[in-house]
Amino acid sequence: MAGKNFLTAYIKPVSSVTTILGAFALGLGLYSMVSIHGRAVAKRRENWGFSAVLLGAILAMAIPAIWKEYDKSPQIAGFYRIMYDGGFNPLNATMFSIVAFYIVSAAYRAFRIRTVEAGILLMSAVIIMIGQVTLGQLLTAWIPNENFSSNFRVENLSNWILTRVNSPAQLAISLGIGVGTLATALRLWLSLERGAFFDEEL
Amino acid sequence: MDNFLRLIVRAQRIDRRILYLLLALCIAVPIAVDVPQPRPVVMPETQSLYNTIESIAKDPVESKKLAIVCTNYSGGTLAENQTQNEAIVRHLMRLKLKFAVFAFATPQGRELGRAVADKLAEEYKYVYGSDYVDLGFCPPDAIEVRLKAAVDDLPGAFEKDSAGAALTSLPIMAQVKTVNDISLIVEVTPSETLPPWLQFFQRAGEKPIPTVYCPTAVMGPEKYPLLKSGQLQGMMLGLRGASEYETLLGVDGFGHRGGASLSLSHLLIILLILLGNLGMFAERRLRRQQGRA
Repeated sequence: MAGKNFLTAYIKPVSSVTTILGAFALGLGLYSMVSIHGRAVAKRRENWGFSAVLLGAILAMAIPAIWKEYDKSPQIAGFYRIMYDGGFNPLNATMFSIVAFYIVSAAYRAFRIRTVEAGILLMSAVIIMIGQVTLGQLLTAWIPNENFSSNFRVENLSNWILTRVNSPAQLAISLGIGVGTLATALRLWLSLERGAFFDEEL
Repeated sequence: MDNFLRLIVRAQRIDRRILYLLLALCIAVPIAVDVPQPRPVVMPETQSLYNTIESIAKDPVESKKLAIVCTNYSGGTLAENQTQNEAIVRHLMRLKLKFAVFAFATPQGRELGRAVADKLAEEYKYVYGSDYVDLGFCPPDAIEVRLKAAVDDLPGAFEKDSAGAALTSLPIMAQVKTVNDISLIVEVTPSETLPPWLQFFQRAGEKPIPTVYCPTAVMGPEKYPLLKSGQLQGMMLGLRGASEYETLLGVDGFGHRGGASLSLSHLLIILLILLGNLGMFAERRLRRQQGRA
């Protein structure tokens, strides 16, 4: 394999160590959550009820998950399945789904064509959105999919915007981010960075 | 005309709860009721993903290697990623390709990916340990080192499956030693989890491993440059991509049913944006008329 050197033999032990450290980070996060919210409940701080609910939810999910590792009985497995498939997964999906409602409200109230650029942005967004969905694709389904006229089918227009306009722009942004990251890293290494976290030159 | 303009302006003040209700109906009704809808047009990136897996199955050497299906999603993106995962795993099982389930971004991903594999294993008579394996979860901070270790010794780097059985004891891992024994990398994810594969694993062997990407729709546009550069051999964009893939497979899964919800909700959002802008222009016109009067 390419890239072998005197450190190659240590890759596996380092991999094991970093895996264990990563697992500790999980435990540390859990300890942090429990201690902050536990204190809020103990001292009856404002909104302590939400902290109590959070702690209850952590226990409600953690107990069956850990229990099933030590007790392989079908009852415990069933209990875990009820909590996970019936509770945790749907709640997780619901929290993410709320975003869709915010988008609808925001799109209706805030998306206004006040400039030419906003108009171009809206036009591109509408073409891409229509091109993504089957009912939208139906609008131009009557256009033959061969020769030049196929370029006017909405899914091909949408694909053109994504591959010929969006893709070069993404490349340019990635390149800019890469160059900016390198420049910032160089400034840090050379102790040239001044800002919120750097009070004096080292 | 003025009455029409005033009506449009008044429509700007629709209670947001009505908007939420409309959206909920657009999403829920097509899922609850089977709405007849046409099959989607298959986009080139989805076709490319399908062709990649088909070509691996037809190759006598590659078809005996192990595919890695990395399921880095959680419950929040079940609708898109789970549907994509099901479509991909169904295709792999249909072609009798061996695969491993793995996750490193979230522990839930491994569980969800394994659940999909177990569910479809009953249908395609796949046996755990011989036809598919669960490589477990790796914390995200340790993934780069884990992949670097897996390049030269895959069973040694992962050591055990999620149940604690040594990988070397499983029949599926008998011929899998290094990165050269991997036929395909499938990344199903709503987040930026592709770079470790591309940087540390894809091109570490004798030849590049075909890599396909199944992101949520919002993540997809960022990765079109990788399709062009040849680092990705296919992409399945969100629920629409899953629907296209189901069309290629000839199955009627959630991708197809969810496509109707997607269509209606997208059209609703477009309509509301147009209505909102019509209202803005109507308001300006009324103000100009009042100014002249």
